Amino acid sequence: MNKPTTINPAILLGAILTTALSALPLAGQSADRVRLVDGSLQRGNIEKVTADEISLDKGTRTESISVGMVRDIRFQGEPTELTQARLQYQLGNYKQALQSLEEISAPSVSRKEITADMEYYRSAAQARIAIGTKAELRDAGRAVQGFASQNPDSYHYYSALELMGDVLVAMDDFDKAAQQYALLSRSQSPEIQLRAQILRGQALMAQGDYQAALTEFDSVLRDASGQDGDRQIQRAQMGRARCLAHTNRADEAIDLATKIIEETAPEETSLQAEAHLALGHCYLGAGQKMDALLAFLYIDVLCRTEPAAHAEALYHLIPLYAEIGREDQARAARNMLEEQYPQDAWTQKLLN
Amino acid sequence: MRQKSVRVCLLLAGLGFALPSPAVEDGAGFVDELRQRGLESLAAEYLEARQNSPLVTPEFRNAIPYEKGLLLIELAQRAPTVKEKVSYLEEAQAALNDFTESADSPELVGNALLELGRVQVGLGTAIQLADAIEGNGNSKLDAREMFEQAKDSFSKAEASYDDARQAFPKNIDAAAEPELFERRKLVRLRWLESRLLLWQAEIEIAQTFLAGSAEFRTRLQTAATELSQLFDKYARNATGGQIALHARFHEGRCYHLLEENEKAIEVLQDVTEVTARSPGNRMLVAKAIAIAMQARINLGQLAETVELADVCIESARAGEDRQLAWLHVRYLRGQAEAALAEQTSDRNQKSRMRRSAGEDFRFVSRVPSPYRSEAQQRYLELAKVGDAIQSVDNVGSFQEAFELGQEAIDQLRAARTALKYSQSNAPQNVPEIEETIDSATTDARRYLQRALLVVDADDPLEEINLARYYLSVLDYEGGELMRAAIMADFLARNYPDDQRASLAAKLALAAWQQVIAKLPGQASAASESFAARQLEGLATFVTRRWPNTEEAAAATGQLINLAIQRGDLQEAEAFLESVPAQQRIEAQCRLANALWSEYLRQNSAEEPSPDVQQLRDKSVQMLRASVDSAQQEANSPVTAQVATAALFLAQASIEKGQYDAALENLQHDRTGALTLLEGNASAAQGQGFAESAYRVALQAYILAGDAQSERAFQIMDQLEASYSQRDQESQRRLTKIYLGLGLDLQKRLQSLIEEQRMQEYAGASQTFEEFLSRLAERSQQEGWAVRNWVVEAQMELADTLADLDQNRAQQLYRQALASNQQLVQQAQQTEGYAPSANAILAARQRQGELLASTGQFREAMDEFTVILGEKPTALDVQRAAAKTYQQWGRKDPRRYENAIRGGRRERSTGQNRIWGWAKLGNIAARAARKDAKYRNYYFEAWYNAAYTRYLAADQDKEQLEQAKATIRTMYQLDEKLGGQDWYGQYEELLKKIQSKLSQSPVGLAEFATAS
Repeated sequence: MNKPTTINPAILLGAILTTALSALPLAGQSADRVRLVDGSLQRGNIEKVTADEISLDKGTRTESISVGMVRDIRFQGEPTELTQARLQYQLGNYKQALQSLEEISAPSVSRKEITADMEYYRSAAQARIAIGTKAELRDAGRAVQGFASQNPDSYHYYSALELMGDVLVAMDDFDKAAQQYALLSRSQSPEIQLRAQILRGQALMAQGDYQAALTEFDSVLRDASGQDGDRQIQRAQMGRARCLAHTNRADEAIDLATKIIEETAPEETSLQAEAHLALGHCYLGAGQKMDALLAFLYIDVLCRTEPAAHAEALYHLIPLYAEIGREDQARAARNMLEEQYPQDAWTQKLLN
Repeated sequence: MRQKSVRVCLLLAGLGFALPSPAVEDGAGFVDELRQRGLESLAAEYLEARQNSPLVTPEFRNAIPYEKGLLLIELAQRAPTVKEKVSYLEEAQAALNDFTESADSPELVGNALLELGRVQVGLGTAIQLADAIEGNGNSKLDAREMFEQAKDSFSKAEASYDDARQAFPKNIDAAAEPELFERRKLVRLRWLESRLLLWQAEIEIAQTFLAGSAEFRTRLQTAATELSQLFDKYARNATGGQIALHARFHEGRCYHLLEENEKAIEVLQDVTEVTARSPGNRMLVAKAIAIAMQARINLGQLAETVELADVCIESARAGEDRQLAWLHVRYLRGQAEAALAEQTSDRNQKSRMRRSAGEDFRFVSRVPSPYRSEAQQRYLELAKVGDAIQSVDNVGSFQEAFELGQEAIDQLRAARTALKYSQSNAPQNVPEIEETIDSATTDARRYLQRALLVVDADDPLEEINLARYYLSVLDYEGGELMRAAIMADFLARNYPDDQRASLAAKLALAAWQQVIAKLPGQASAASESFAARQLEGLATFVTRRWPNTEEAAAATGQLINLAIQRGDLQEAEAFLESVPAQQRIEAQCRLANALWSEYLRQNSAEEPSPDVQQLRDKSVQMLRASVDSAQQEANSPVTAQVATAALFLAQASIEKGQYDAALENLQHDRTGALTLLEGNASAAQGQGFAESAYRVALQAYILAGDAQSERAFQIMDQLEASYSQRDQESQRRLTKIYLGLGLDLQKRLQSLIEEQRMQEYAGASQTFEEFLSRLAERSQQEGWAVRNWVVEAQMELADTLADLDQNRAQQLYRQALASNQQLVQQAQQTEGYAPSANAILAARQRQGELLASTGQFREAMDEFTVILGEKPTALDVQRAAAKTYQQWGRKDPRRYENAIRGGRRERSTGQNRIWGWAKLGNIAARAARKDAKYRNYYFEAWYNAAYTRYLAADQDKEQLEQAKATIRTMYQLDEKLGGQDWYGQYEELLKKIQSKLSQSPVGLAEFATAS
């Protein structure tokens, strides 16, 4: 009879703890950081990335996150320059983002997700500059397309498709843009599927066809009933509000925009910014300029992290400030628009 | 204190002190106890009283001067002023001298001499300090004398201890005779200490000579050599090790003072490398490091200086870093880092070093020390240039940006404090400090905005919200109310648990309210605006989140205001219902005040709405109800809202002519504005309350008539007395109060005339006259508008009084003439004083008119002639001149002709510079064909031409006929005679002429029939 092996309980406990602690990514320790659109943060080791989903190993369990919910990912061991480039891109400083990416030494990057991330921000920054300046749009479109075709499993895949659509809108090729946006509906994420429809509505708005856009947004809201994707529903409502403002239904538009703002969490900076933009437009449509000013000012005060909305808000603030005799503030808004977003379409619109 | 007690015991032991027998007092114990209780003065008195007393032992009696000396030293240490300190030390010196002369034990003499030397060093330092404060410039000599005496005392102490030392047996067995052994050890230690102190005194003496002089150098070199020997001999000695270490430190000081920096560093290394276990040593090491750092800075060894300091600061124990030696080290490190930053060309390194130096200076500037003010100055300088190299766009993390923002806020606070001080003590620094305030505000805003831009999900929420709060305050202070409102509103509503949330709510409520007040258009429209909706949402939130607080009360007030602006009184009253009973009176007053303010606002519109009266009635009803409640509820506090409601009620009473009721209200013992002001109540401290209250009170007293006018002037006297010591701006405010009151009174007098209440008018006008005279006196330093109004008001009052009381009218005309003359003079001497050239012209014309009104017709015509020489076609002046001739005609009838035909012929043209009514009529007729506004001049001129003839006619029928012919012509040209007014006047004049011609006074009907 074999004598049972005696195990020192203290050693056993120590071993268990050691294993558990080594598997758990601790706060402040190196790990992948997934930032969500609601501002919250998830830490863990990324196991798998697809165009629709990210699998995050959190030590004791693996969590799946829909790509529609992801704002960005900071990968463990990524070059500092990539972190900088991502921040610059998000702040609308596309040239600086490209500069930071240029400074990365290629051999230092081994992880394929990091390489894909670098590629995405490089092509996206080029595309954003092209859209703003309306120059070299074709080259920019090709670059984004190149990224999408080479990285079908990137979590940026659908963003790249959307960006290609934006490039086509900038080229005034609305039909092709609509086709491009329709590709987003292939996603398994309900958020992204709805996004496809919203983008079509926005493209119609860009053409000035508010009635058709309104129909599109109404259709999104009808189709979305009972589905996930609250943010996209809110975006559709914002689009609807803007269309109402442009079709002589300003009061209805204001009520709708106000309701969206009330229902949106304050941390949802992106949605808050878009909602206040919509509200500002509604007020402009109703001739309530002071109210419009306050709605746009909200974005300047609280949503500077949203470069697209911020640039547009600054653009609208310039004449509104001038109208109330605040030439100093009008000048400040103009300077900020020109200095902070030199390549943005709203800056170009102001300068041309 | 305990140390002293030990010293007493040792002293007594040295004397072979036996325990006192029960028959005598325990003098030493008693003195010790008094000391422990901090009653040194009493202890000194006790010793004084026991000098010849049999109640203490003779031994204690002999030691009394010594004890007294020690007590006086303690008292000197606590003395609040240098003068007192010196006085105590001088007494201590005398006492210790007495003791050394009478004592026979060398050990005791040594003790006393040691203390005496210390006293003398203290005195020398105190003299230097007093000189630094009073600046009499002789201190070095006096201080040197004192240090010399100290040196002498230490030298004698050394000799006494040496004698005492020699008296001990050479070999003492520590185990067999431990007490004797310890005593010998102590005497040896004292002997060494005396030597150390002697050379320390020499260092002090050296420093009283000009730095670098031969005496200065020789003395320091001698001291260094002696201290070096002391160190060398005793460094490894168990008894003298500590003394040796101190000797080395002072030797280092000598070399530093001699600017032999390398030697100083080398010598001080022996001290700085000591393992500083005991607190005494730690302090000595920190001091040595500070001197070594100074020496290294002198040698340009900046990096080494920083390294030296790093070790010292990093190893500082809790609380040590705020002690003098460590503050000195930190201050020097800041200096070295700042100098290093200037040497490097690497921008990042430069920025990092400046920030680090800034942190050191900031730290030192927060703790009282001799380095504090210099550190503050350096911090401000550094922060100013720091911005130039620290680009906001390069700040990549929330934490870094937030810290920089916080630094800018600290700088802003420091500069604001410095501004307050400089405004009264160093006004030459004010522009620079103001510049610093501006740049710190800009920096704070930029860094905090950057912080919020680069914020990450795991950055601390408390700091994120603090950044938001700072930004909202900066915007509010900078007048960017919309930004402030948006940010503070966001913080309050979304993070109500944050410690600044309620403050943010308060700020946002105030900012939104001001944004709404500035919105263009009707208040009702403003109340429907985006801003109003935000305010309403926030106010509702505040009432629920922080009920029963000051913030909630203010929020309810805002909700009530909004409801009133919307014209929804029911809703306003519903808000009132929601207020808890204990705050009801306050809210009721708030509602009533808001209603009354709204009434005043609407009533001041050019065309008030027909509903305004209804609003007034409702407001008064609510004011009455709320003030009654406040007056009846003896336990309810009289707040600012209550006081304002009572004041508004008084204002409403005045508006209705109920002056007695108003006065009763103003003097009410609980809520009366005057009562509250007299009692300096907090409810009356609000901005503008006192001014409004005095204005209303003055109105009430003045308008209440003669009986109260005395009280009115008393209030004016009080008001002037209370403002007399204030600045120019306050003086102006008082003048404004008077002006506002003057306008009110003028209106009131006008309505008395309209209502034909001439008796009341006579009384009130007298008060108004006195009031104008005061205002004229006050307004000498005022601008054009105020002084011009005063003259006009005096003239207008005189014109009205001319028919009632000629003497008073003349007196007023003379006052107005003097005031006007000064006004014209100032306008002519000071460019830009008058708003326009036409304004000066009008004042000069008025000068002529006033001269005429006071009977100085020739001077008046001179004035008009000068004006018309510059501007011949000024119709108003021509009219005034013609009128003056007309008035003059009453005294000199020849002037009637001038009134009609003009006068003051110009030699060059042969034309009259003053046209007279006839030419004025012709010119006006031509002008009226092009512009209807001249029609009035035309009808007026021809009316006056006819009227002058009527005046001149006396019994001259021809003149009367000519007058009648003029009227006939005018009638034939225009049967309506320019309208109802002139028609009536022509008609009346014609009837008078017809009567004088003994014709039937049928007026214009005569011409109608004829035509």
